[in-house]
Parts: sequence; C-alpha cells; structure tokens
Amino acid sequence: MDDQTILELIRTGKNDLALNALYRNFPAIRKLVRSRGGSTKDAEDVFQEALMILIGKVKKDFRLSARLSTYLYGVCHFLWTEQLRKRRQQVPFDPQAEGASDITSKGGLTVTEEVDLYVHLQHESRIRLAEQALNELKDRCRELLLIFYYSRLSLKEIAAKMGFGSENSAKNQKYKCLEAARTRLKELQHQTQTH
Amino acid sequence: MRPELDLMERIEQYLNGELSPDDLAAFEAQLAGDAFLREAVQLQQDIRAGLERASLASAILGAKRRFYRRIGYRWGGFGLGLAVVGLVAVVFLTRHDRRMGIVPGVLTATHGEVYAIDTRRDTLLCTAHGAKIHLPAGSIDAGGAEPVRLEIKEAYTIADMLRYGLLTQSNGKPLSSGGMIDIRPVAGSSARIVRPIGVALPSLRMEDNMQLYKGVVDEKGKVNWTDPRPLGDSSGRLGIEDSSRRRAIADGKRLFETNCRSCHSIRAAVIGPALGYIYQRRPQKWINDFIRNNTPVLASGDCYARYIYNIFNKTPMNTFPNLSDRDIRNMMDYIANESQLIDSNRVPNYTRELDSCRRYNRLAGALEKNRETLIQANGPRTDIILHDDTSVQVIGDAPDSIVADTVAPSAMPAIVIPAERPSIYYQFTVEGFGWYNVDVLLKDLPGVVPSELRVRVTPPFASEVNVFLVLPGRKIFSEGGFLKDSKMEFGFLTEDGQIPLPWGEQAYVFATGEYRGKPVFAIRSFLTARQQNISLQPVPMTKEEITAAINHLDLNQLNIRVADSRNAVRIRAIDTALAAIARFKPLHCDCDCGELGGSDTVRIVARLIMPR
Repeated sequence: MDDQTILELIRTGKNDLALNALYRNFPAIRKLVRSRGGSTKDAEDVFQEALMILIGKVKKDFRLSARLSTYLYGVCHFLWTEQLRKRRQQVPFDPQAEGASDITSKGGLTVTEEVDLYVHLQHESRIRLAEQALNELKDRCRELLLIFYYSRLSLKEIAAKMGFGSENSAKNQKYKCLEAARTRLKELQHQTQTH
Repeated sequence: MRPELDLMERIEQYLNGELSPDDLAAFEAQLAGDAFLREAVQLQQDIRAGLERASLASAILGAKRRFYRRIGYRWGGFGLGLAVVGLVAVVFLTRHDRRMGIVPGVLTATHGEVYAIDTRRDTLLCTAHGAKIHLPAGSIDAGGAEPVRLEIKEAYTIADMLRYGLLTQSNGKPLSSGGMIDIRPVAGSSARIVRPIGVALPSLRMEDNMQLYKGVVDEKGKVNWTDPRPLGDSSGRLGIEDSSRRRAIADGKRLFETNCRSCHSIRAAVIGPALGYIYQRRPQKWINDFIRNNTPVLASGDCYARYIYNIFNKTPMNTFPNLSDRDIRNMMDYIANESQLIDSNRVPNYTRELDSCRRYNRLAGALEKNRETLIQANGPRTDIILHDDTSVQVIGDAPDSIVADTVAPSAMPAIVIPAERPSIYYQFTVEGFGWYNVDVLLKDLPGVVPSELRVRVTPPFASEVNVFLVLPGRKIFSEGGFLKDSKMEFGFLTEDGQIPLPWGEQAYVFATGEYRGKPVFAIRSFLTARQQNISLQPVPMTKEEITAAINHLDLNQLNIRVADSRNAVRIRAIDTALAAIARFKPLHCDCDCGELGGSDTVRIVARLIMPR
C-alpha cells in the first residue's frame, strides 16, 4: 500500500486498515530500539506513540517531507532517544564522540518536525492525565463516551445498543459521564500541580 | 437536563464548531470575561483529547494483534530454537563453572603470544603490545633444537595484570607497576636463557624511582617480585628514549608547579578544572592558544571554553604568553604521566553538557528565527487610525511640514520622536473620526498658550510602552516620545517638554505596551495647566480590563481596543517550544556560544529574547 493511500485512509477515518499497513514498519523499529538498549515492549510503546503522533498530524495538516516509513523511523528514533535521556543520567567517557554522539542525531527529521515533537511531548503529559481520568471511569461510562465520539453510530443506534430507554436518556447519560471525567481530571490536575 | 449538562452540551458544540456565528460571538464574549468557563472548556477539550487517545490506543492494539497473528508461526519456530539453544548454554555454563574456580598463578591461566626464534642469529622482537626484545645470538640455549618457540606475555594495565593473575607484590608489600613481561619457552621445550637479553617496555607511566624486579613463582603458584635493580642496561645507563622522556616530564612538572598548581590539579577541580587527560579532550592547538591567552578563545564563542568559564564562576585564567610550544608539550607529558594514575572516567569531560548545548542552540536558533519573522509580520504595536474629514491620517508620520509652516525651525527645539515598538502578543488599535495631531495646537488657536507637560513612566516600563496624550474637548490625540537625554520622561511636542495647551481643560495621558508577555496599561486624567509633571505607573492587566478602563472614560468617541496580535497564537506556541527545549541547557550555563552543532548551518542566536 503506498503512502498516499495510507494517508487517505487515515483522513477518511479508516484507521484500522491504515494501521495494518503501518504496522509493517514495526520490525525496523523493534530493531532500532533493541539495538539501542531497549526491549520489545519498549519498541511497542515507542511505536504506538509514533503512530498516535502520525495520525494526529494527518488529521490536522500534514505535509509528508519524506516517506512515511522514514518519518515513523525518525519519530521513533526521537522518542526512544528521549526515553534514554530520561533513564540514563551518565554518558560514558569517550573523547572521540564529542560533537558526534548518537544522542544528538536526529534520525532524519527536519528541525520543524523535531520542534513539533517537543511541543507534542509538552502536551502529552496533559492528555495522559485525561486518559487516566477516563480509565478511572466506570467501564460502561467509558464505553458510552467512546461509542458516542468514535463509532459513527446514530444516537438512536447507540441508545439501542447500550440499552437506554430513549435517545434522550442516552444523551443525558453521556453528559453525566463526561461530567464525571471532567471532575476527576480536575482533581488529578490539582494533585499534580501541588506535588 | 440540568443546567450544568446544558452548559456541557454548549461547550461541546463550541468545540465541534457547531455554533452559529451569532452564538459563537456571544460564547466567545462570555469566554473572555469568565475564567470558570475557560477552565471548563479546557477540561472538556482535554477529555476529548484523552478519548481520542484511548480510541486510537485500542485501534493500535488491534493492529498489533493482527501483526503478531500474521507472523505468528515464525515466532513459534524461533521460540523453539531459543529453548534448545538455552538448554545447551545452561549445560555448558554449569559444567564449565564447576571446573573453573580461580586458578592460582601466572602461567597456566592464559596463553600469551608465541614467536619462533632462530637462536643462532641476533633477533629483535617487536611484540603486539609494543615491547621490544633484543635476543643476541646464542643468548638462548635450546640444546640444538631449532627453531625455539618463545611464549611472551605482557601486562601494562591493571586489566592485563588481572587477566594474567599477576599480582604486584614484593615480599608481601604492594608495588606499583609500570609494566610486566614474561618470556619463556613454550611448554615441553627445554630452552634456557643463558646470556642477558634486552627488554624495553612501553610503560604508560614513568616514575623517578622505578626499578626492575624479577618475578619468582612460589609453591602456591603466586608471583613474588624480588631482586630490585635500577632501570637501564647492565651498566645502569638509561636508554635515550627513557632519559629524554624523563627530562621532559621533570621539566613539565617544574613548569606545572610554577604556573598552574595554584589553580589546577590533575585529579580534581580546584579554582580551575581538573587537568587529567586534558590532552585527550582538547586538540593541542586549542590547549596552546588557551594557555597563552584565553580571552580571544572565549571571545570567539568556543563552546568548550565558554562552558568551562561559566561553570568556574567566570574566574578569568591568567595568561602565559611566554610559554613555548615545547614548554607546553612538556607540561602535557607531565600531565599525561600523572593521568595514568587516575581513571579517565572520573575526570569530567563535559561532553554531555556540550552536546546538550549544541542541540539547544540548534533548535533555539531555528525557533528564534521563526519568532522574529512572526513578530515582524505582526506590524506596529499601536495601530492608530484617525480619520479626519478628508483622509486617513496616521499619526507618527513626521509632522515637520506643519511645524515648518508655523514656526521658524531655528526657533524651536527638536520634535520628540515616538519610538517604534514591536507587537509581540498584543496590538492596540486607536480609532476615531475628526481627530488631530498636536500640530494643530501650533496654529494660534484661541485660548492656547505656551505650556510645559512632562510625563514620567516608572521603569522598567518606560522603555516598553507607548505614551499618548488625549484632549477630548479639542479632539487632539498624539503620541509622545522621550525628552532630551531622558529614558523615562516623555513629552508630546518638543524635546524640552514645551507644548502650547489650552489651560483648564480635561485631558488624559495613558501608556500601553506589553511586558513579559502581558499587556500593561496606565492612565491619568488631569486638567491642563501651565506647567505639569505627571507620573504613570503601568501595571499588567488583561485585554478586557484595559478595554473596560478606557470605556469608562469620556474620550469623545475615541475608540481604543486591545487584541491579540496577528501571530500571537503561533508566537506563544514557539514560546512553549522554547520552554520545552530549555531543559537542554546544562546547569549554570546559558549556552552562550557560537559553535555549530553537527552539520546544521543554523546560525545561533546567542541570547534568548525574553517576551516583553
């Protein structure tokens, strides 16, 4: 499947098909992460984050500066380097490496792309907090919200599927769940700020 | 539904862009004045982003499962192979372990290098590790069996010595070793050394009182070093290489003690950094330049130099213009000799910090450039649009022509010039119909008499704001500029504060600007008089507060608005990015150096521009 087809699939919301195609890049990423001190699990995490970043960008405005595989590789390289940076405090002595250490290499991203990723990392912690608030909701609540926003089902179908008496009560319930998530998120934000 | 739920629905419509233009305008107006609502919108937006993430995560999980299912059989095969290999490895390791233990003694543990020698001829062996062994003809008696095979083991580092199990002890006392060599015929041969042979060892470190020891293997297989003798040949003379190196080191030591010791040590940071292994960290030319005169090196923006300078409290190093290349080389020999005693990993090399700085500079440089461009594209901070009856008059354009009409140029001091200030996050718009510049006061209007008006703005705002004078009754609006030789006093016509004014009329002076990312504002109302000094003290305010403060006054339909600048959103995004990369700046260092990182050719902006 060529890059444009994949991008088009994402734009039209057919994420599953696009992800199947994109996952073919995973072995290269696994090799990258494992060759630089990570586990397969690390590789999966990094790859998942990169896919999220990619899809998020495609939905806004995305100009592909290189092939998709190159871009993904670059993003993963960046993310993994950031991880290493967090984990490893001391870099071994190597007079030859000055100015050329692999820690500084960009993995083929443009400066703009790299800067975008820093901004993404800034927002990410916020969004992860929201994700946590959602995970702490009752299963039924979370499911309802996900179906509402991402299933493309009509209100009527949702009401039927989730066993609500009327469309109105489904809608009402959705906002109640949203409110619960919001309240929890506010608490979590408050906690992280005071720490 | 409950009202809170209704509000959530409304917020959702706003986030989805489903509000009608009228509703949208109403909602945004409400948003501007309601911090609670802003927080609610932000929370709801975050929740939506979190949902998006959760839904994507589950889609990705699905793709991952399908991926592994597709390649599943391969994993099965590989897994089996692993198990078998694992078993073999375990058996092997366990058996090996049991037999290993620590084998005492030197010679059986590992094999050295083996050389075949014809004992009837002079031979010079140069070993792989750099020892030179001179075997004169007939120095080895092999009982006629040719060639003789010699096994040679060398140890120069602690690691080598441990590998060969060579202990550095002499009759129970520890020795410090410059190098060891073991020369013997391969096992089973009966060759003996019968005459002296010459051995030169490439010791990494040299000490004055180094001696030659002979290793004797005791009954437990341990080596005891005995029979110390001075280094050199049988007559006690040192080789040429040895003696010249000794002299160089001694000379280097003397120079080091005289010139450097008061601030530097080999092992530890004192007033200046530790110098151990410095010759590995910096090129010789850099070392020469820096020792002789460090000022130009620092001024050139050399990252290493600047970093060291910063973390050592900007203590300037003395200059040593008279040290010759040879002097410095000798000092390096001395330092190199001493460095052997310490672990190179213990000396800070600052590689990490410098890499970090380069990375920071590369990214910050690109961001700053963008930011500058965006600020330029914002246009002037204060947009003044005063329509008089016929045309649009933009104040700030030189009013000289009008002045020239009315007053002889020589009779009047220079006119104040309003300063151009960039708009970063905010833009002020001043708009009105039928308004005039102060020049109109020069036209002999009734009741207008010579006066003096000075407006003082408290620092640090004086250099950040635009100051305006409004006479609503006369529809006069004018921007001020610094008085002569002042950095905080503003005047509105000439640089000495003179201006013709009608006395006893309602007037305002106000200052607008931005300081550290926030709009600042101050206004004073007064009645005009012959001589006045007015003080303005700007304070940070929100856009809405400023608008409200202005609307509160009767400005005779002069309209003043504050809005986000055209590129405010993008500039703030860049600020976020700059803040995000600021963590690359090492502690105590501003990365104020101009060295370029890697192959990138982004010229570095040395100083971060603070949002003003």
